[in-house]
Amino acid sequence: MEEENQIKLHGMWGSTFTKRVELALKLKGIPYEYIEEDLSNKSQLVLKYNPVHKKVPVLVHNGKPIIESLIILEYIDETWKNAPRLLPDDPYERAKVLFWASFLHQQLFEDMGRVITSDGEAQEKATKDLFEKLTILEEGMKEFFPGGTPSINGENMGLLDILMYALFGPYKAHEEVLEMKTIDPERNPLLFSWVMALTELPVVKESTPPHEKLVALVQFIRENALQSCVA
Amino acid sequence: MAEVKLLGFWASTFSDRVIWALKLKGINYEHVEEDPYNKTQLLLQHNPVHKKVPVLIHAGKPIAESSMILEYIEETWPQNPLLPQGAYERAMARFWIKFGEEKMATICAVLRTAGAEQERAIKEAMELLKILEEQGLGDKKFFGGDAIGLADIAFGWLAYLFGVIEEVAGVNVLDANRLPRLHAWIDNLKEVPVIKENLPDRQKLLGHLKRRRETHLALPNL
Repeated sequence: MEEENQIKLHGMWGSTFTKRVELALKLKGIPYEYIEEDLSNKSQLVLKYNPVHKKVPVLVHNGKPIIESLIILEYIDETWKNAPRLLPDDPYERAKVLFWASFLHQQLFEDMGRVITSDGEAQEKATKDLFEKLTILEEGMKEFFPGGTPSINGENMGLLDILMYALFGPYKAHEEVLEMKTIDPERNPLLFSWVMALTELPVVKESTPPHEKLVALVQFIRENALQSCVA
Repeated sequence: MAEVKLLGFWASTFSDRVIWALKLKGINYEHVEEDPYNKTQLLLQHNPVHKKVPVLIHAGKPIAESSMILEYIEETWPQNPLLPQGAYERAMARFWIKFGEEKMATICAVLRTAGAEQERAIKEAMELLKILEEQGLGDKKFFGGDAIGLADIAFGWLAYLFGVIEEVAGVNVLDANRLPRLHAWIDNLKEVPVIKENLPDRQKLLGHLKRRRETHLALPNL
């Protein structure tokens, strides 16, 4: 067995965090072994590699585990310096990308989660928060796409592209389950055209689970959450 | 050298982190004190998304969020490195910094709670600190190894702020018997000259946090 550069990814097919890491590995052409984890019955390996949070994804590089999707993405970019570079070299540009990455990863992701897992008034408030944040992101991204419509290919995809796709790529599944639009071509023209451009890329298409499977997953998450709210 | 400005607040531990990093690297900077209840135009202009301190302005370019500022400082001024060389070790340092950010509110919940709720908060805080001690610090002198690094700076608040929180809240969480290595780490950290000489006034902090606790406890239970 080859010990040099042995890369394993423990993940879950529907997890947006796992998706990010998969996409980064594919973009960089890094061969890896994927291990699907059943989140209700985690393997001993996951518990060993991530004793603090016990979560996926976990990237294991030559036996050493790295956890937390954003940290994994930085690690991948620092270890495999071939194109596409996920983060800029310039410290200031890098700080800007990390700022928006954090915004997408924490704030938008949490808001999206709340919209999916709530109903009634709580959902209305969560939706309002989400739309406000989307507006902020739309404004912020104008600086990154001064020409208007993003022009992305497999060679120039970066961290924000990956995060954007991982979060909003499944927008059709979200729409179907929630019966409302999350990202909207009218409200967020730049973000919408960006997601469109991303979902057309071959490397992204081959990482995208079938629509029905995604709908079923979002439905499951929503029902599970709403049921547990009923005391 | 291009101008470096730090928009900070004396009671903000996030500001302190940036101060320590700048001083450890010997970077000259201008400190602009912000009042969170009366934010300057400069702050609102340079951090329009979150409107919070700290904000570092380097040659007119603003960087917000303390963890991002620390990484920026590390990359821009490589002297006295605060992150390890290896990508894996860096990933570990970043993991613990993130852990600290995510769990800080839970660990400090003892300040905002009383009675049974506070008892739960104490228990949760001790569990998290145990994880930090065993898996983060381990047998090392500092999180960074033999010398302090970004993770030590990010946890610096445990060395001074948390003690004040414990006093105000009337609790003892970071007990020397239960968390001996963390306690030793605190003593070692406070000996580092830059840290020792750049801590906020304890009495002032005590008053500030007492008022915070009173405000929290006076809030109606939701």
